[in-house]
Amino acid sequence: MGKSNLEMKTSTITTKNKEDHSSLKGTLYFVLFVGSFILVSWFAVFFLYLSRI
Amino acid sequence: MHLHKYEKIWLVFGIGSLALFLAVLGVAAFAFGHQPPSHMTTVDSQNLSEDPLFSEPGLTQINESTYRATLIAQAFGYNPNKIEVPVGSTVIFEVTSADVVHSFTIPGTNVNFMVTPGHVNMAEHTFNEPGEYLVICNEYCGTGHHYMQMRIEVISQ
Amino acid sequence: MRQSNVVIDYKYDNEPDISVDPRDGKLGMVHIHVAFVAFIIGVFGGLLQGLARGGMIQLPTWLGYYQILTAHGVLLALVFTTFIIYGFFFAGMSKTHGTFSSRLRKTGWVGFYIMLVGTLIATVLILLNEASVLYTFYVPLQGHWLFYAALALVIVGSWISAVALLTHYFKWKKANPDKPTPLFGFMTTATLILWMVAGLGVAATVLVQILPWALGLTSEVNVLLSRTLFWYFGHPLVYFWIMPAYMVWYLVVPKVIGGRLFSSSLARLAFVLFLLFSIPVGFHHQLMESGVTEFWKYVQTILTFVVVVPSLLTAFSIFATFEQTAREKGGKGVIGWIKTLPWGDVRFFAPFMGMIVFIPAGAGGIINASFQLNSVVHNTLWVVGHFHLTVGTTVLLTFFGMAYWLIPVLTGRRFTKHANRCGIVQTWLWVIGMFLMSGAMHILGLFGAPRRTAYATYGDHPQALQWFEGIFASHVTVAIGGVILTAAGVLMFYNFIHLAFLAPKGHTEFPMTPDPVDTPNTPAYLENWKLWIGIAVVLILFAYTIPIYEMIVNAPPGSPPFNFLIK
Ligand code: HEM
Ligand SMILES: [Cu+2]
Ligand SMILES: [Cu+2]
Repeated sequence: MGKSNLEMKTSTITTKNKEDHSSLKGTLYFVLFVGSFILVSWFAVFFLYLSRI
Repeated sequence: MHLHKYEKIWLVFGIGSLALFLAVLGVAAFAFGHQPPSHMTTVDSQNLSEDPLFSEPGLTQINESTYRATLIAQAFGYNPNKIEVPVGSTVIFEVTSADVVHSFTIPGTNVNFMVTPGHVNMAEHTFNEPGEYLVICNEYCGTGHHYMQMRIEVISQ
Repeated sequence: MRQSNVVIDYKYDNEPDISVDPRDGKLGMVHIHVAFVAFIIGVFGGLLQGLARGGMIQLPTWLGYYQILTAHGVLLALVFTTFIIYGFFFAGMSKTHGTFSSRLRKTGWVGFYIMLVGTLIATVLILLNEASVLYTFYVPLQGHWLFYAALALVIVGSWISAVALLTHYFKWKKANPDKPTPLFGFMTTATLILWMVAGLGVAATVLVQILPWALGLTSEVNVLLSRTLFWYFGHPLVYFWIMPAYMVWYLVVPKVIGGRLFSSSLARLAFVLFLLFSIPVGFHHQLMESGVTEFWKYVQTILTFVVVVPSLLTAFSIFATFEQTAREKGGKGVIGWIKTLPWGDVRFFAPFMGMIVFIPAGAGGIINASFQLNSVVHNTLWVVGHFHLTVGTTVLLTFFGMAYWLIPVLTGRRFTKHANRCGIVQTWLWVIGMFLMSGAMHILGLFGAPRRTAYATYGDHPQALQWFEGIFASHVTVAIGGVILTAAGVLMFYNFIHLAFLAPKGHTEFPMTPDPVDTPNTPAYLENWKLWIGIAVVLILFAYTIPIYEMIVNAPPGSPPFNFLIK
């Protein structure tokens, strides 16, 4: 795929809403939520294991 | 390969969590001895009656509060199918199979291991509460699998 | 260079929407037919299991619980998945790498028929109650030898088809030496190489150990070795399901939401990591068994955790694609942009719900693999709850989301509004049913309720009775969830019939993300398959050589067959 032709196409759009659209804040919060969910559930089962020793 | 700044944060967080889990598990296992049941002794599953350990399965007392329970799992039960210990006892379970793969599982405890024919598997548990404990097989072993069970009677004194 | 994610404002498919050559389409479509027939039978099996375990129905004497469970596991986890994946691969490879040569297409048909014959024989034997050994067929329980031969046919057939697909890919690569290969082909290749390398394990135990023993040619079998070879295959098997689902996430969903995938290299890296690390990890299914030392179990636990990393990468990539696309379409706020995603489009919505379900599914998986913690959940209903989330929801909803456009593409029909609406309802029903069934299973498992066990109260032991009496954590909740799921399954089967036979003729788009902007900069080493296969083999040898050597050298006397226990 030709690079120049892609750049040409994209440049028309990138001008529209400039301030904001490369932000990945939502993604960051999403993955941090996923990570916290993993941590919490893992330690919940870990403590269940400990309580049963 | 370009990584976005947030992706780096995420990978550090994610991989860090995984490393933390592994460290906690490793310390619990290799420093404090809470290992998964991985006994290496083998037996002849078709001649258990001649085996020194399993010719007379049952409960033996090792010291004041410790017992050894040698048990044979076979379709669809355990031999013996009931043992009795006083409350506060630690029981070391040594189990093998006379036929197919079974498990030895005391629901509500960490005792939950596979019993493979030809191999002996082990776990120990301290019974701090009196009561009648249920033991079940949770590995499919044939049409009567859901009947396979035994009891551990923990008696208060 | 700034990169845009939006494709909607211009027509990048000036390159016309190449559709799949009808001859290749037919080959793809027959796989999908088999998949959905297996699916609907399997679903009714699931319903009976849920109701029987909950004590709500009693099975007739001629139909065993474990017989149904074998059919359910084989038809859904092995047959449905394998066939729909091959259908997707043949269609996608034809679209992205051009029409198959007639020789390769013929090879694909040969593979298909061999898989089909194997599937039919296995199903008949299960129905005759000659093979109630469950889909893991652990020895020394023994089913009819034909059952094992039939499974071997399925594997061999899938290898033949894999050869057709791989040859098609490498022909393209040879013809275009300076270009990175299209992502679809790259990912298909990683998945199929994984499948072939992993299949060696199950082929070895079935052909060398089990078949001769079931035929009476040998009298004993090494049980531990057979289990180990099975799980050498069994874990990569789950990646064989997940990787095609990820392909839909990486390659199809971005297009459906009107965007594009934003990095080719990261996507390739994730697939290479799957290929490398998803095989030398089978011991995480054997953590509770004797005959393998703690050391080797821990080594494979570490490798298991490594294979979580490509899923972490995927979570970020996919969500970032959503966010970038939504923002370029005018979405605002930290999460307000979510509103701009096409929620009414089932081609997006079904896979999306699959992704959401993958959060608890993945967290559960990490817990399962956690070495000694496995004793809390091993062989309990927790595990059943877990894989109904992973394969039963994440993978399945993604494949459903794919079926809505793939079937009409292959049959030359239109993806109708009606089908879309049914799809949205189907997705909700599936998610709600699964929430109840799988949620209850997880908690029951923590209380110790066993998996693979017919209705049992264990002599009315209080602990076992409690599994029926919980408010949410009860076999009754499982059964109710199962009923809702069955309704969802029937609706999906209707969707299949509608799109395959009834929808009006017309054109349906094959949504495929254009090559990401960084494609030309793809590092060449990512495409060096010899390198990756080499490293994969080294890792496998490292993780398995010593434990398997010990299993053989220190083997106890083997086990004779026990076939009377299953009838
Ligand atoms: C209508 C939907 C479904 C229902 C009601 C259902 C229900 C069940 C139940 C109750 C069990 C386990 C019982 C036990 O361990 O005793 C089970 C097992 C299983 N299910 Fe499902 N299920 C459904 C869909 C699926 C799907 C879509 C898949 C995979 C693609 C799947 C794969 C499996 C597997 C692999 C097992 C384990 C079989 C074994 O232990 O040998 N199920 N299912
Ligand atoms: Cu059993
Ligand atoms: Cu696994």
